[in-house]
Amino acid sequence: MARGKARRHVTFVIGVAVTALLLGTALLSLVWTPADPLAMSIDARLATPTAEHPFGTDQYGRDLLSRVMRGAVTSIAVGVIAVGIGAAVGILIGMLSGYVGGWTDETFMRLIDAVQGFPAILSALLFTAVFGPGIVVSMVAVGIAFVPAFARLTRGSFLELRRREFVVAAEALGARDRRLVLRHILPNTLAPLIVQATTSFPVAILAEAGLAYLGLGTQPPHPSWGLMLKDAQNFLSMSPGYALFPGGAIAMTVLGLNLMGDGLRDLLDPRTG
Amino acid sequence: MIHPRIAVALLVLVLAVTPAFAQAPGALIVQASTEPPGLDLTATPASATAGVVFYNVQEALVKVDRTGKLVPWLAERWHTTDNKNYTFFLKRGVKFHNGRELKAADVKFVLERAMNPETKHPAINQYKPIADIIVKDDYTVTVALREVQANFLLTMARQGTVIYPREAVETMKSAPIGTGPFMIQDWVRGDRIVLRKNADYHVKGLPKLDRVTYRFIPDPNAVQAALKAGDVDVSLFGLGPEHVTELKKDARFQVIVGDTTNDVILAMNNARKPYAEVKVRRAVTHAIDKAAVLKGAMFGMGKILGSNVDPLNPYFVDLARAVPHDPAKAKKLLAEAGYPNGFETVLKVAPQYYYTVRTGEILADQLKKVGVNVKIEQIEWSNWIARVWREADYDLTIIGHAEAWDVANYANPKYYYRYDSKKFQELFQKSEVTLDDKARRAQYAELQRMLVEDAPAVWLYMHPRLVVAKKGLTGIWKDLPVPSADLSEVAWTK
Amino acid sequence: MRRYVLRRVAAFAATLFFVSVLVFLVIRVLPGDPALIIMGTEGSPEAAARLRESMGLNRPIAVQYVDWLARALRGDLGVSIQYDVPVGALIVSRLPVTLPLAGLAALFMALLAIPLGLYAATRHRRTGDYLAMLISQLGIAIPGFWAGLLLILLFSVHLGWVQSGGFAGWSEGLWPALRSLLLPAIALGFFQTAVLVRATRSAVLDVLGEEYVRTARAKGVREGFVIVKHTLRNAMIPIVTVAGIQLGQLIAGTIVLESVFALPGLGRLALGAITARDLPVVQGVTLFVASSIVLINFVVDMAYVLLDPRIRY
Repeated sequence: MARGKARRHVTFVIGVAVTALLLGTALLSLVWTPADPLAMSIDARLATPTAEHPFGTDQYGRDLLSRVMRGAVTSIAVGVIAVGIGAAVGILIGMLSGYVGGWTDETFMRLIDAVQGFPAILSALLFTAVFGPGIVVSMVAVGIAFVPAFARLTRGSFLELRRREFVVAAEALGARDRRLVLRHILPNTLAPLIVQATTSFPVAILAEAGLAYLGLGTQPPHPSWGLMLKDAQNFLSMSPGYALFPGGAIAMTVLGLNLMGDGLRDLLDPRTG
Repeated sequence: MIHPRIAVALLVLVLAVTPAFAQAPGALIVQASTEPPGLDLTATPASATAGVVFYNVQEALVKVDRTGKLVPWLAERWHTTDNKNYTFFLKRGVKFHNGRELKAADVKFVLERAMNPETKHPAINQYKPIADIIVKDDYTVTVALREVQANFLLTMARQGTVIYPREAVETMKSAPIGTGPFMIQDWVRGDRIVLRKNADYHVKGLPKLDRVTYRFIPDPNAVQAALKAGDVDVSLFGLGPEHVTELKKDARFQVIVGDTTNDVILAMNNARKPYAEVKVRRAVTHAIDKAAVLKGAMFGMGKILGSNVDPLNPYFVDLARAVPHDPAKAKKLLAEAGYPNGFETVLKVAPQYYYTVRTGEILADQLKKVGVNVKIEQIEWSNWIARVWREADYDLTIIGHAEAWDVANYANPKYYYRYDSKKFQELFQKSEVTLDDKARRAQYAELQRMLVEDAPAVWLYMHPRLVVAKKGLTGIWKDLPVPSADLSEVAWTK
Repeated sequence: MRRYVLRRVAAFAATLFFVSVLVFLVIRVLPGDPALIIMGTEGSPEAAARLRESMGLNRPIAVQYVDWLARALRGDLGVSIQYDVPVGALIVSRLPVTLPLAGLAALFMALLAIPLGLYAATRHRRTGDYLAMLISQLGIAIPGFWAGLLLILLFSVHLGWVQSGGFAGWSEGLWPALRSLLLPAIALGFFQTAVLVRATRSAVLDVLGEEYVRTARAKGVREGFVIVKHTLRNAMIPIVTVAGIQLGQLIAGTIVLESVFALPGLGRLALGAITARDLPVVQGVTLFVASSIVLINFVVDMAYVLLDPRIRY
């Protein structure tokens, strides 16, 4: 039992450490990077790692290490906005839908269906055409596309838990709606939501890369891991290592967030182990 | 339960034994990046359409050959005494794909249809000088112009003037008929277009191929993989310079780097501050190191331009070094114009054309060094055409102008450059009606020098023709004087 | 229950209507129109203006929409501006590519993810769990366009086992067609599988901690029985929810992969239509996709009832 408890903490701690590293790098990059992430040097393009450029350079000779560092800021912004919007709006709708049921459920869910059926690219294009291209605009569009997932997950859990013994018992004892929701139901729905959130974060980062194909999202020359990954494809033969660094950064983000999410999940739920 | 290793072995066996794409000797698979928006050359000027149809399926009276020369084609010869009435003598025995012979009446029909506003022909303005078309007999037709036109024969050679039978107008968009070496066999929307040989082609011995398949592969990395895997035989357009550099090292392929008429320019909105001021425009030109741009964006492939006439044009004057890279001079000019600390500006580019984005990033870096802070905004192509091109709602933009002889755009004050120079317009109008080659050449030299003086835009480089083909394929054009993909002389040698 | 189904059908119609209005408005608001794009930068502005007029694009937006709606209700989705082919036929021609592609990917997803997630949960915090999670992290971290390119480079360029892209067509035979869909389906399914593995593992872990599982174990019920009979069914609700969401996202995911593998599918058609402002096609595809999503969600909601009879609508 004790070893299980320690193991539980280890997962969480590793996850937090990696996430903290990410956050720390992002903050650091705002005040210092080894080189100017925007400084070009065409003659030194696509270089393999050296002392001067520990990660090598990109197709314009810009220092990859500095760009990966600064890219962390973009990634965090991307994830926070998209997941923030998706989760906040989605969970709220899902809660109402699953708890109240009836026509409320019906209306909300059909609206959610409409959002799911509406191509996210169109909304990204629309916002960009109206507000101008940029990372915030595109991520709001991605956030909206995340809402259905959070909404349906929350609703599913609420539908199920609503009728469970402990909730019915609490209700019989006179607990009011708000207490029921906040105290009894919501904590038990957290697990899949945490998993969804920690999964959606890297999805948002990669969605940004996908939008980069159309020129939406981060505008050059600002660094973004997704955009760097996309560019790296063209230069795969000239510089095979180019893709490794942004790719590795994304993989590390995935790892850190997932471990933290899993750890959080385990910690919050006393029944596991 | 099958042992996993045996299962894998079986899978490999099955995959290996099933034949991959069987290749017939007279067949060619061509990669195309963009699917044509219809195959009707009289409805759209798209180069994707020309790439499939022009010279392969449909042809014109006059042809621009691979060296850029105008040669007789469906018309064996022509003559004019006053340069206002041109009489064309048609080749005899030329058959349309539906079996009917080409007659002078067809030429009349084609031209009249182009001139009719109801047709909505994209190049309708080119036919405005035509006053009348007279059919003398089945093989003789005279075109009467209102006034002398220096580029008239070129108009007759353009993709919009291909000759087609009147009975085939309805199907022009999906299955055009013409006199060309190939016929449209099939168009599988979204995937491929298949052409087959025209056995009755009017040039004996051509075409050399029996069958051509255009496959639409938009992603350049996928194109490179397709070439390496042997799934396509040739890529005429769509590979980036980095892919070409890589494929050069592969002994199975031949790489052709040629010239095109695609001028990549940095356009400045002459109607907006601060670009209305010629000193600012010249400052921007001085701030740019074109050689570095070419190296950075195109890996050195292509040719630096000094003005808007490209090297394939007979009147080209090499003015690339006329306004040299000189950041100090740029700062000085900016200060004189009232911007000693530079200014902020927005550069709009359409990522559909990768080279414009790359060029933009490099230019932004160079301009920053003289105090001009450029914010790059990538916008969708449709957005670019509507906002930048049609409404001139931009500060700076980068685009490649592929049309030959497009220096005419600088004589149009409503064109998105918003460049309005009476002197230029007058000289240009004069050159349109000057027929003496020496005189016209001098006029064009003067026009180019005027452009350098006024610097309404910065002419960066001519985008190269990047072709990669399997070794053993011959007959591909090296240069591209007109948007097209003439495959009539392409053949496999073993 | 019958009333409920009828309610859903009515809501279905309402959803489609709402989506179609939204799409119409957005396409019209976006700068650029199909006439301009057909004419390009080299076409004469007068010809473009005339073309615009002949397409009926100068009429008031409401009129244009009602016109489209009236025809759509009669089953006539219009003709594609780019291709000059009826929209219905165009969409149907793309289904033999996109549906099997999504289907294969979904198959991989179901066959791999649920067992793997289950396995990981039962080996919680032992090597098996960590290994499964590692595979899952990789699947999430590698974007579709990279997975696709890597697969092409390995299996097509290097090994020469399959074609690098393109679609052979079902007329050539079952096997050649499936072969061209194999790599893209793996690339597409890879990511969705990874997500579902995590969700499955989480859901099963939740249930494994429940009282009745401990009771069953204490009673001496065999572990296998515990898992399948008691655990899985109760864990299914979140699993089915996520699977439904993933299925919906599969449809969206086909867009990028169809470009990488040069497949003539629905995703590429939609993207091209949006770029060219080919409104009839965008409407047609959106309606089709929205209908599929509604259907999937309906099935998921029905599954909830089957899995847990306490859930009532």
